[in-house]
Amino acid sequence: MITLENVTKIYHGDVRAVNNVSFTVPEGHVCILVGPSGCGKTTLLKMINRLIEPTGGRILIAGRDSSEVNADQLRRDIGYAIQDIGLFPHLTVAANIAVVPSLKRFPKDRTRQRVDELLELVGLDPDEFRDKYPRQLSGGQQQRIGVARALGADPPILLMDEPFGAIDPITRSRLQDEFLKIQEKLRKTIVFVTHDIDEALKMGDRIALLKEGELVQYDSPQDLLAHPRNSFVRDFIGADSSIKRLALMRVEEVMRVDVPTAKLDHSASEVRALMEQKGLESIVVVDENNVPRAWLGLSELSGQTGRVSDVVSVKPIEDIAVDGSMRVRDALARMLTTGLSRLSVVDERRGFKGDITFAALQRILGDDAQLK
Amino acid sequence: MEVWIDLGRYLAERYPELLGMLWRHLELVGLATLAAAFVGIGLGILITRRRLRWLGPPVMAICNVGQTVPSLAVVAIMLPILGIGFLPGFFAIFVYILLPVTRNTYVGIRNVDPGLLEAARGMGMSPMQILVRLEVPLASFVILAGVRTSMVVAVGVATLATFIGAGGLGDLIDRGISLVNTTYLLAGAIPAALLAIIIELGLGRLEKVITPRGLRV
Repeated sequence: MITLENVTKIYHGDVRAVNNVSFTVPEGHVCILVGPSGCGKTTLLKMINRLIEPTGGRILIAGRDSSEVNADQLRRDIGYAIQDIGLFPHLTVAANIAVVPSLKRFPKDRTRQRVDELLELVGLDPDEFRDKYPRQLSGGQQQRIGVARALGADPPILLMDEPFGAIDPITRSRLQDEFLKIQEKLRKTIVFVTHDIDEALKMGDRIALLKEGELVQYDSPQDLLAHPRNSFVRDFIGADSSIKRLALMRVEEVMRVDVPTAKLDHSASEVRALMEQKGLESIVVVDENNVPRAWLGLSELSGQTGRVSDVVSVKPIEDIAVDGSMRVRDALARMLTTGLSRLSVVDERRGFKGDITFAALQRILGDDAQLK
Repeated sequence: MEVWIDLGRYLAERYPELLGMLWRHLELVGLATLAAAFVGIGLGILITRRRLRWLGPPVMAICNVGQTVPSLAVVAIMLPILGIGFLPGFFAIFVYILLPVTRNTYVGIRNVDPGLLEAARGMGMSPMQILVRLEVPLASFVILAGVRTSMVVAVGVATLATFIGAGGLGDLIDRGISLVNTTYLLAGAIPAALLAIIIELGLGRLEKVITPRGLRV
């Protein structure tokens, strides 16, 4: 846990780079420091590992005042990854990752094992990469090594200063996803600086939005989007805050469950009766494995006497169903491109779980619009 | 043609004298380079340290001005201070090549990417660890290039050390000039030139070996 109490940094007697900032990052959470350039986010980050000494206030790390600990010792227990990556060019990948373990005098064989573990963790084959030099790696690979190095001595806390800043958007997004996966496993307490609000919303459990050295709002991404404190926050989030909110939600969180289904081998009249009884205009048709195959409208059934399979034309599942773990924003995009106002939601075995409708999405966003 | 025959005869008859002078020359160059490397690298490192960093620019200015002083003047100035003999000769060479070694060390270390230094500090490396594990290895080939240049220069300055009685190949060259004797002149000048070339090539090779593998292009 990291607690900041009235942390202040004054330069040259009167420039307040960071002014009276207080917040707490709970154990195992990712806190994003975000704001326009010059807002003091990097200064704030560097005060946590004392690369910059605060002018006022206290920083408590796991309950201990960080100013009472030897700065070098303190930093060896805090992983640090920066935008320039800062891999040592004269050392191999393995030696780079082993920097902090060697400072902490971990046994050699344990370090070697740790290096391989970390390489695997960041998705690089140890046998291939261990003995390479930084200049032999692509930007994305270097960044992975940078993260592996920050994790070298398994520190409980990680500080990251725009670690994915200097990377092309596609690689960046992949690294972000991988990072989130790693974090799910490791549950480190992380403070992460970015100027990119989308990255902040994607990566953060908590977001600290800074402006001119002041903490403007400290909230979860959902709350930040739903309840921006003032016009600065609203502007910083951007006009598409509702779309961004959809990006934070997963389909399975908002889908409707207990939706009646029809089976391909049901008789048409039976299904029509069911629909009329429930007042349904359309129904999803599943096969014997509970995999959604088609949508069936009430009108299509009128006068039909055979089986459902005679009436519907089976469609590829990708067209009509989305995975439960999909982001709601992406499901919305699917609706817009396919022209369907309703999608089935399936589990990883493609079994039908529920559905999501355009109207339901509007309702979700509408509720919050009223709260504002 | 006659010149070469005379030179051959000289070598055949008086090679112990030549070897003695060559050895003295090597002593002058070797010891002065060693001393200059120690002191110059040390000084260069010192003025990159946090507390002494303010000394960097003035020391560099002195180095640059010092380089413009003719080597003969440096040799000459030793005469009233230290008299004649090996020591004043050694000292003249040492002082003259101290400057480039210091400058290269300073520049090499100051040119290490500040991002790397910050990463190192952020990981909890002490200033000493940063110096030993990062700054010196990364600056090593710039530092060594300074030593190489200095040593080559030292070979030249050492030929002038004869004027303050330090000996070396300069004795032969001086004798050749005084007596207008081409044989002596060449017997001193050719080994001196070869020595400079060998040092240049040899240390160039060493630089390649010493350059960390990750930095080789």
